[in-house]
Amino acid sequence: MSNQKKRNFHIEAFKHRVVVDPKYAEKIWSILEHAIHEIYNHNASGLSFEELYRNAYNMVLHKFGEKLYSGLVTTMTAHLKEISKSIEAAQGGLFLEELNRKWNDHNKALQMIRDILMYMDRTYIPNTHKTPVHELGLNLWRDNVIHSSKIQSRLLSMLLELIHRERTGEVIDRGLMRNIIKMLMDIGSSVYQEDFEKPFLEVSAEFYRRESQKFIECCDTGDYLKKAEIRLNEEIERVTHFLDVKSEVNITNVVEKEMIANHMMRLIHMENYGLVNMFLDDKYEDLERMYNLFRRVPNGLSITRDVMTSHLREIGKQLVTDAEKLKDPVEFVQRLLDEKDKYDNIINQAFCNDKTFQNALNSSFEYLT
Amino acid sequence: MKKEDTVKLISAEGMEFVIDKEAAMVSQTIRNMLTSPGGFAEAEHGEVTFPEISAVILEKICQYFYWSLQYARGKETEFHIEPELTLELMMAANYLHT
Repeated sequence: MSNQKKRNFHIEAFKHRVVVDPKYAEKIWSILEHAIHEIYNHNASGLSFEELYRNAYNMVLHKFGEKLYSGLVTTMTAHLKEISKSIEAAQGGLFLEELNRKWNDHNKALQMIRDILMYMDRTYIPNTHKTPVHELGLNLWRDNVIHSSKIQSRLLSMLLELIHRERTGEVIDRGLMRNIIKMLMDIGSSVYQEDFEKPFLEVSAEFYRRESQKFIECCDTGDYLKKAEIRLNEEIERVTHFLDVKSEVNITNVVEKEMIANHMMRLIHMENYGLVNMFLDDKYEDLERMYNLFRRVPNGLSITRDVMTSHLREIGKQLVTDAEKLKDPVEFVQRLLDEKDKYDNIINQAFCNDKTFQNALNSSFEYLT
Repeated sequence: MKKEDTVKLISAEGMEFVIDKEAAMVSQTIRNMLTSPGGFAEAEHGEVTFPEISAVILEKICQYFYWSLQYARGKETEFHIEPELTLELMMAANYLHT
């Protein structure tokens, strides 16, 4: 008996329909379109994932990917326009909440849609270099909702107003702010920068310009610096709570420029309260604060150093003329050493042991002797 | 096998295969099905019907899932495919993203 018969290769008929009939595509598309409607209306539990996935799969397999993709764009755009209207209709404070709620809905719907259209995402889209579903959803949201004329300006002004309120002491809903800002960041960092950060920095500069003007008229250097420090820390804390971490350096630059750099000379030379007075009165805390704030601005420390140097030379000259009157060399040397000690301590404790200040101190005393 | 860890796959003819969720999720498609937000019917009931996959193919696919898990753990063995199943199996694999 011969060995087992050679297995005959049996190619069975395709079980899948090989219909390239456009009516077929139309039918499948309407099923999918209906599903997308249901998803946006929170009615997905009645839908069968497998059926929708299979329909999308068949459409792409039979070369109707184009129809599927453009249908998706049209349907999503229509839904987003409606969503836009409902957000616009929200009154006052509810505007941001409504926006946030619709954004969450959209994200969820987008994920579901991407899941059922996964086959198209995997095959059709890379082949045609079109935008993948998830990114497409974000772009459509940006174009139809965020950049809709009625929403764009209202959104920005609400965000800026809330930040202003927080700066004047009110408590705001930080969680909501964080969600909205994160939404802008998710859509694209350029959206965050153009639609929010740039105007935010401009408005902040204006705010701090006015505030610093107000303070400098009524406060002495020590108090002014205290207030400046508080504001600076406040801004840093605000960033950690609900802004993009990259904004920290931008907003601190604004505060530093408006509150410190613009008023530096006036603060240092303020009569009875300036830097020299701080030295004479041993105001360690104020000196430390000044050092920490001034190091943040260009030339802050070099100017401070120069004032210290000329002050030391003044002291030196004083000592020398006094010594000539006293004719007591021991006393002179003692007082010289005392002064050196005093300034050593100041540099040590208040100026972070900054070498450049140490050097300036040493060279000033060398100049005397 | 606990009920919560299993999922039922149903072929075109109505034959049911109950397998571990971990095995089923070797298929990206099934994984998405079960983890998609929004509660599609399949995730709710823990069963998926494949009207276009026959029982023979579905059975082979389930075997593949388990083989794949073994392979991931380091045990290399050959996965035998009967030649006459090849075409349909490939189509199903493409569909299930496996």
